Amino acid sequence: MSLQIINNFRRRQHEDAVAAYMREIREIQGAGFDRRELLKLGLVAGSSGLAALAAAPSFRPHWAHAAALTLVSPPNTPFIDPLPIPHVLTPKQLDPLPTMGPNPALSGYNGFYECARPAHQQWTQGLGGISTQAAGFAGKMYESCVSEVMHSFYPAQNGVPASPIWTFTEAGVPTGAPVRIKAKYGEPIIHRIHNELPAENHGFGINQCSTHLHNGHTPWESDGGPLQFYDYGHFRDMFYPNARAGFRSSHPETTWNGPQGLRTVQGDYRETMSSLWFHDHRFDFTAQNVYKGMVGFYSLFSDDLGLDTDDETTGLRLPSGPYDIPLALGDKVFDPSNGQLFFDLFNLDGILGDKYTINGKIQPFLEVKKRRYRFRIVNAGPSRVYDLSLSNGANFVQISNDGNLLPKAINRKVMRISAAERFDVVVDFTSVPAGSKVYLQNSLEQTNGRGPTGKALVPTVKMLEFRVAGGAVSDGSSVAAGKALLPLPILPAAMAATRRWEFGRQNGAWAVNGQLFDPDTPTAKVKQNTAEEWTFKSGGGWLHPVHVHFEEFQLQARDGKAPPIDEVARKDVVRIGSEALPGRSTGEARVRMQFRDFKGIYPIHCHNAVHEDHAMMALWEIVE
Amino acid sequence: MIKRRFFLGAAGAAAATAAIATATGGFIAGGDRRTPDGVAVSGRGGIPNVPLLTHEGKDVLFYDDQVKGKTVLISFIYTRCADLCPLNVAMLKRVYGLMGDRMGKDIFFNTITLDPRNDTAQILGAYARAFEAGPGWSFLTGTLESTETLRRSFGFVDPDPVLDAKKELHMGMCWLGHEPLSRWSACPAMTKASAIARYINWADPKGERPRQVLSA
Repeated sequence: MSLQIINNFRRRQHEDAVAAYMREIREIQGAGFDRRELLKLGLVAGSSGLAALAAAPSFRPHWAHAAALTLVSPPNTPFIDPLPIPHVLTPKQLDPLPTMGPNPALSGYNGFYECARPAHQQWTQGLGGISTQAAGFAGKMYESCVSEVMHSFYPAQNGVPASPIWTFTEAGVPTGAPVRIKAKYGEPIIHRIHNELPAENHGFGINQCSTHLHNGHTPWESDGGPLQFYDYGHFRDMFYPNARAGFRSSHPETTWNGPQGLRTVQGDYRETMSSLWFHDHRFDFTAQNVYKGMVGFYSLFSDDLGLDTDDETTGLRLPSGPYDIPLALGDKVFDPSNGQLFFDLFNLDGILGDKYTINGKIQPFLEVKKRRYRFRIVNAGPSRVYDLSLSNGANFVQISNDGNLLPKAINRKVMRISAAERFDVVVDFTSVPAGSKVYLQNSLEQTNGRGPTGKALVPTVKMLEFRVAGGAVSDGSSVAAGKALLPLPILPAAMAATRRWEFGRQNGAWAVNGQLFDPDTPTAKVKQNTAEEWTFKSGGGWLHPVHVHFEEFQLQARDGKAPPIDEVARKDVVRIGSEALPGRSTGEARVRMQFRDFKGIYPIHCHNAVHEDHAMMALWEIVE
Repeated sequence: MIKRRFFLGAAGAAAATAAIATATGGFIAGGDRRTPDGVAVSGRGGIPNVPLLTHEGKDVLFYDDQVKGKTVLISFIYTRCADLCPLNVAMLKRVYGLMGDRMGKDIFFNTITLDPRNDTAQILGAYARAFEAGPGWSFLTGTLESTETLRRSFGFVDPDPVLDAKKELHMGMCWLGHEPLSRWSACPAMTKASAIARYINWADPKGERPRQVLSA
């Protein structure tokens, strides 16, 4: 009840703020800006003006729609707000304790029911579940809510009112930053997610959610696939075994002589992952809900292997603690008439924003010390492709592709990143003079949601300002290009099958292999614990980040040629189509992947979330 | 940046010269935009309130009469299209059947012509009769300006003008909307009827939900 009152209070405050803002806009207009200035503000109507209304009502001209206008966000002052640092969720004792099937008891936190769901796979087989009947869980437990909170993307001085966003919160308490789970191999997790979203969506989004742990080696019922959504008033326990691929099949145990000497772990040690993220995946509404804020980080540490340890003095000695910062990139647009986050519902090509946000702030700054930092960059979409670089010409030391450690760290000047790709990079500020500023910037032009032009963006857009501070600093990390990280898994010599996935358009509708999306019938059945070769094919004119759920793949070839060195990696997203690589298109990408340990139905889809929502997707199933 | 297809301001300021808009209160998404004679220019979500004529010869405003407060399916066809449009409409007819007695009560289909110069109300009337379209299903025509406004507003555009002029590129998708909740999604019009019916229900607060079962 008290929560409801607070919500009503916030809503009233919000309405007042919006009304004040709009008064201001009217005053600006009253003050007589010229047409060009108003165009910049997006405030000019169609040029046809008021045509006379003809006698026959159905055939009178509709004067308001003559011109297609471009929506331009209110201006922002860059580099005023600090970069929001993700809020790390605290493990807790869940009430009621998790169960293998849907929980029969109501939530002690808010009285919600668990939604209908299949039972957890392999629940009692050393993965944390206590019993098939009784409640209990031996791993770590987290609880979060997807809630509506008021959030300011703009710095306060710009006077743009906060927008209602939908995001993950710890027990409903907003922190102004995305949440982050720090997970470890060998420690299974239950993430209980309550749906507290209101039906009123302020223009876009749907208050149903399905949280996908992107790149998780996750049993199907906890995958957060497009058809696994649930409504307000329910929670769902997502079960993340945090076990390496192969642990129930090809590699029950492996031993590695790594940075900390010989270690033996469950599963194939080479399948160790690092940077995952979670986001809403509600069928047909993913772009809207993710744009509205349903994004979180999931960092998976491998202390057991002495690899990625969350301690920069051990394992690979990657920058850790406060020097390990996830960055979610998202371009947005705000309605200039009221300052509210805006989503173009009826765009079929893809959505672009003119404001670049990172972790929910437009052009923030980060004060850095003269030392190394690890940034876990994810392009949270929905449609923009970036060419990332540092303004001082320094290299990124790329250590992962799609959050999976590379065989060796590599230097990158410019990195192309499409929706849902994740690059972990180390940036070294050690020799940057104190007091100077370095920018994370985008230099790739994109004029519509279909894909980038490939031309340089002029001027380059500065997205994040690093302010280099002086003073004493310690740096226990040690990483540079060439450093050995983690070898690639060895794929089986024999492929059980080869499949082609051809993405095409039929009369403006997406089709995969000539078929429209079918929610009932997986189009491919894959035999569990085998490997297959898949080819993704696309025409030109568009760029598609193709994403496959479950195990990641190894890219074999782009149009028959070897992929670039940074893509000799484990990936779960591959760019195909126009400008897949700088100055180069890819008609066909060939990958190899395995399907181990679990069964279930998973999707393959375009991660330009607008294409995804318009059925650029197919289901496939792992069967015995 | 996003293409803005809806009119930003109220009519008062749209004086013949510069046509500068003023915000007159409410969210853009609230859609309270009116012409001097008090007719809304666009509704919630920027949906155009263009004047149209139904296949039964009735004058309607698209947002006010066909969309507002309703659950709707919106598609585009033209009657001279010999192969694909009839298939689309036949598929929608199956969806219509699956929606049962909700059709015409809270669920409405709007099928808009891409070829208003040929598709008069009479021709659309004959077309509707040929498909035995029942209550709650409107075939709509109007001026080319009105139908083109709708086509563009619903995203059926191509940056290449040659492709943009090809009608067959704009009929592959249909929009599903729960207008009172501003819930809009799109799916291929040739998706099997049972799936389209379910997509409508899934977005309905009280509708059915997907079954989460593996194949037998």
